[in-house]
Amino acid sequence: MSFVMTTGLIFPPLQGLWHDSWMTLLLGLAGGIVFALPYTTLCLRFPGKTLIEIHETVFGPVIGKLFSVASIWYTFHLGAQAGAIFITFLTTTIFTMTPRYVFSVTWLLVVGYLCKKGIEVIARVNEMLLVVTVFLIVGTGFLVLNIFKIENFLPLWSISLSDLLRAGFGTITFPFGQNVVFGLLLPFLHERGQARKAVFMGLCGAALFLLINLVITVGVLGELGKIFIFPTHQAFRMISIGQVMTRLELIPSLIFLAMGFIKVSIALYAASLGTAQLCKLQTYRPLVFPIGVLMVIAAHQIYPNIGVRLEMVERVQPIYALPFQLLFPLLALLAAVLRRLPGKEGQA
Amino acid sequence: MILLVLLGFALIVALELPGLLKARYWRELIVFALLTAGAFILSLLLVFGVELPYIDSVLIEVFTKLGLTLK
Repeated sequence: MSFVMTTGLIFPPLQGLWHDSWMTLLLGLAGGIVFALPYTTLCLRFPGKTLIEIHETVFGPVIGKLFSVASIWYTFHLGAQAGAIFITFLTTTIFTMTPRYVFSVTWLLVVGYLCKKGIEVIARVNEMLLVVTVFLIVGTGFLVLNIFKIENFLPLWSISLSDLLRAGFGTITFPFGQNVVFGLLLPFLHERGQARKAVFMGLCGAALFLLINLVITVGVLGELGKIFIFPTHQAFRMISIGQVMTRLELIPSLIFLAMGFIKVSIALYAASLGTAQLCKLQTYRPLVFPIGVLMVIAAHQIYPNIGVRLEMVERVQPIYALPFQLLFPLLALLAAVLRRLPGKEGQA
Repeated sequence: MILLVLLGFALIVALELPGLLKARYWRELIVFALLTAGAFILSLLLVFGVELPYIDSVLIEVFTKLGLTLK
């Protein structure tokens, strides 16, 4: 849930739409659930194995490794993207005079420490941060009641069906389809049989809070919000309760810091674990900091300006992410079914 | 800045190397060395102001050339 909604909270998945974007969010959720089916089926079919191990079992050592490298790259890229948006957000809205490296180095130290402690520690920290995040999002819903305008959502359905489907497809790949990273983590669940249910519930929870966030942003800003790169931050700035509670833009910053921290931790953990499994290592821990440094470098070299990022999200991301999110797990599942893996004797 | 990079990588090596040597994790040591070396070289290039390509820009260019972008 935290992983999927992180970037969407501060950088809403509007896909070029504005007051109709809530519809694309619902389409995105439906698509995200469909996208999650192949890899959750694989994880249930091969209990205790991550996608990296499944690739080698299903495709053989050579082709399997190619699929695994692609999955690790995608995970790594997601972590770097989240880090880059995190740094851009902080340096353009709050800490405008602070060098970017200050954030990336402190971020690397904390995230690296958390990853070395393992997935259980990440999950426990997430549990605490998620409660705070949910409280802040729901609480803010009440704080904007005096500036919220329902007419900002009118006219309803002002876009063509083709535009809606195009935007919905974009929302599937960013952010809902990103949950494919959990193909590297599901084997570590205490109750593996509940893997699919956990993923689906996480997606629904993320969609609910993204929707609340989106409704707040659109309802407060109206069409004006289109001009902002980080509209959520701007919407929260307009909160004014009796001229006492004002300038609450710290709320989305806190939410994004908490959730971004979890997203980058999960991505770094999954990339380190995936690399360790790819190279048949006994532990992933020594790889955390070298991969973390590479992720920081990638975060700095991901886009020259936020305009390129917006272009990437709208034009390229849906096509670029499709193989990683859907095609590769689907191919692996098809190959597993055709080869009748895992065999009865447990040769897989 | 170069000193900070050197210090950072020295810290990473000092943190990981003794454990790897003690446990005789040679395979882990090789992968660790390769990744650390890669990260070190890239860090130095950035510190010296070498223009590295931007990942999203490269992806946009590749996908546009392939005619695979939306719109």
